[in-house]
Amino acid sequence: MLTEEEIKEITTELVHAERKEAASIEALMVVQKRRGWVSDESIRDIASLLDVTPDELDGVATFFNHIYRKPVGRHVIALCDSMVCWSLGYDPLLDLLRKKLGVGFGETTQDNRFTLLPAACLGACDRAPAMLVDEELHGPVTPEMVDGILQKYK
Amino acid sequence: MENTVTVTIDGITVKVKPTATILEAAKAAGVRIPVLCADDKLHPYGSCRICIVEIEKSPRKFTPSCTTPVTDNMSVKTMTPDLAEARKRILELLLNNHPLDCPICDKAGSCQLQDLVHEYGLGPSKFTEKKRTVAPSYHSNVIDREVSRCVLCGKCVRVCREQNAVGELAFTRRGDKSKVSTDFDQPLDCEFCGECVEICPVGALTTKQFKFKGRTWNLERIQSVCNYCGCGCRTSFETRLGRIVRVRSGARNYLCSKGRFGWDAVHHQDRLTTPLVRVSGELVPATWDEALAMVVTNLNVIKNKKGADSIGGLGSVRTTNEESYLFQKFMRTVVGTNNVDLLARLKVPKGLNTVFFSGELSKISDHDAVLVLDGDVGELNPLMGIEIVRAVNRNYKKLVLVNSGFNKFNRLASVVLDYLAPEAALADLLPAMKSGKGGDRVVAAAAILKEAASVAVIIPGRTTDKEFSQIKELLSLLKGVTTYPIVRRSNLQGAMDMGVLPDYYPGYQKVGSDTMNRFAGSWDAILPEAPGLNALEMLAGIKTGKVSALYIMGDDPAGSDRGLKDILNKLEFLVVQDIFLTETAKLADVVLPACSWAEKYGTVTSLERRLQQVSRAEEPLGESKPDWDIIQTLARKMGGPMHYGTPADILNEIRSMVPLYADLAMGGIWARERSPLAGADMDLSLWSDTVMKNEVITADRLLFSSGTMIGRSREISTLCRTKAEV
Repeated sequence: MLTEEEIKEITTELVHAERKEAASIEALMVVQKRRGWVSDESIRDIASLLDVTPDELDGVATFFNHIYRKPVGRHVIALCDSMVCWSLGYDPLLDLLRKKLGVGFGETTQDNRFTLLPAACLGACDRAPAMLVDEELHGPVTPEMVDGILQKYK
Repeated sequence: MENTVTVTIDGITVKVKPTATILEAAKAAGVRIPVLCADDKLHPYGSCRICIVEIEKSPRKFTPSCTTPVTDNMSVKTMTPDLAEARKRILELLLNNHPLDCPICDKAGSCQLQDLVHEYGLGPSKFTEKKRTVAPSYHSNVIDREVSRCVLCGKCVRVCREQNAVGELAFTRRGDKSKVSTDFDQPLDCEFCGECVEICPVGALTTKQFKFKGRTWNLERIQSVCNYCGCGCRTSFETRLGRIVRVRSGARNYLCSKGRFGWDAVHHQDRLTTPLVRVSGELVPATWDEALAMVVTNLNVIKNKKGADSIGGLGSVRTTNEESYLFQKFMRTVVGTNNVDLLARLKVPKGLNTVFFSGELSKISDHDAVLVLDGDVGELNPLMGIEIVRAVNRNYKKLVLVNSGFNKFNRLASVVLDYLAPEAALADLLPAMKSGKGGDRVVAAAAILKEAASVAVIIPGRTTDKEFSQIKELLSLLKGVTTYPIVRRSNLQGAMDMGVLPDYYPGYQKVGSDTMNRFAGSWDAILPEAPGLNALEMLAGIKTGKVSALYIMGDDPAGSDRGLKDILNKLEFLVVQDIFLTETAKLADVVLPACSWAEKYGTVTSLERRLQQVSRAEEPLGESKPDWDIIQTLARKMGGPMHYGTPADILNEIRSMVPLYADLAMGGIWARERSPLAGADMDLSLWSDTVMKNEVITADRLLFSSGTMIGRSREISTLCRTKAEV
């Protein structure tokens, strides 16, 4: 069930859309903003609000990296997984993150603090190797900076 | 000519509409461009790139022809060494992930990918990567998804969404992980029309029914007509060693779940294979001679004792025109009564064939607006539903929907009038049409309808007297109206045309002394003068003793309405001619085994009044015989002169007796103006507040529910989530 607040916010987005389904991404983000991720149930609920089938909406949801279809931790680390970052220090950075967090790509730490995801690409080649934590872009990130960055997110 | 442009395709110059694509222009020029993802049914998509061409003076080397519109004086080459090489590379990339399990693939032989690779050839590939494999999905009841075979052309996704408005399939994930999927990879939960299977260019979607049943090149194809609703879709029976293994659309148009999968009722183990007669209370197998002798004796005894009018005949909507014609002729000339009718008239739209004549279904989408007065249209007449979707999704026409529930049409409609019954909706819509006053929605609906230069109106299958007059009034306020009455029963139109009516001879010629003399002369028989009892009067007559014997051909009143069992039990003599031992047949004194519509020849008439040919795909099962043959054998034994070699002989007689059919070509539609009843303020439907009101519901969806035949389809019964009986 969507909350009244969520429905209200999605309805506001609909004003800008010529067809209801055009507001799919916005509607998904409304739910994700509040719940951290988008469940199957939420997909069904949003779909009926937008007059699309759950499957069509799931197609949109699974297309985008930043719409999470599984529960994630309190903070999401998206490590840029693309060519420029690979050549400018991606490997040691990934190794360090794996060691510090004790998780690999697609996994969440036991304390539910971080989820580590690959992202191709963050479009920040000038700051490679780059890393996005929640909505904040960091880069170029050196192994020495990692502790300091992670500390900012509790 | 202003609205055409000139295009040269491989040196052939054609004039086409400016909106045409290069692919369409090539078709007009008779040049074949290979395609995978393009289909006439669907909007251009351009995902496979096989259809690339070279355009002269274009900065682009290759251009996809399916998505590129033509321009004036465009010159296109569809086949050059470069193009052949490029297409070969595209195929190489597609095969990279294709499992190449052709030996066990049902599509082999009719696979577009296989054909293209065969055409362009393949050398060794530079790619050594492992093939992408995706788990197959076998958990749907009728459709299997071999996802690894998928080439991601998106045809299934698009046909489901654009043509059917169902949207059960969609692309999920992206990049090399993208795949066609149902919602959350759950089993398919849709209309199960199988259009996705039909349109798949490879073997990614297949049916359980056809799996390992035969190779496509070994199949024989017999063109026939679907028998499950009034739409009369053309079908192609595909047989292997004389047995049906698959049914596909004969017109490459559309088939619904019943049409595509429901044919297996023909192979049901409960088919009647011999005549049955009642001996000391039990139905036991008998020879044809014994069974027919029993019918002859009993009908003669009752006729002599109580008169011919104590015998009644109930005809069928599942039989061919020839059989319906012969049935009424048998009742009128041999038995000597006009007591012949169709119980299916209880399911006829009021005013059908008098006020409401159906237009051509394929022309629904030509109208500016479509007004649907019954939201269940897609379940009752699926092809009509598809044409409505086509009007909106393909031709961008406006849809005004009256619907008490919520279904796929709600998403397509410009305006939804959410009323419990059409009566209430029309009560608000009519004033809005006249004065422009009313609620927002009815005013919006009225505006659309008034603005439209042509409107297709879908008339509900049942209407009250009030609704009937409301609809007539509404039609008078609209421009360019074509009506489309919902006719659920299959050959109802044909049976009515053939005069299985107590007060009309074939061709709606009223029973009276003039027509009687004419028909008596042609039929060489003495005919009863007074109109007979209608179906309801016959049932009522059983209670009062007025009717002592019934001959029921291909109908199952007791199966539709359990309350009728007691009534039918009161009969002195009951003959039932059917393909199954129906609830009604269980009550009979003699049961005559008819063969199914896949086992005989004949013609049927669709709700469009289109005459179509039914053809035999299998030999009759056991000792079963075509209904027309049973009737004429019986007639001869009772002294009636019936000598027909084939159904074509009967059709010739029909053509001589029924002006509507006189020069009606196969596939043609009889003109409404020629009907004696056109425009008459009368009603051919029957209305009962009791009979058939406690109808036995066989499925949780109207789409999967039907009577004698579909109720025995294994495939269709697996689609019903719950089996309800009311």
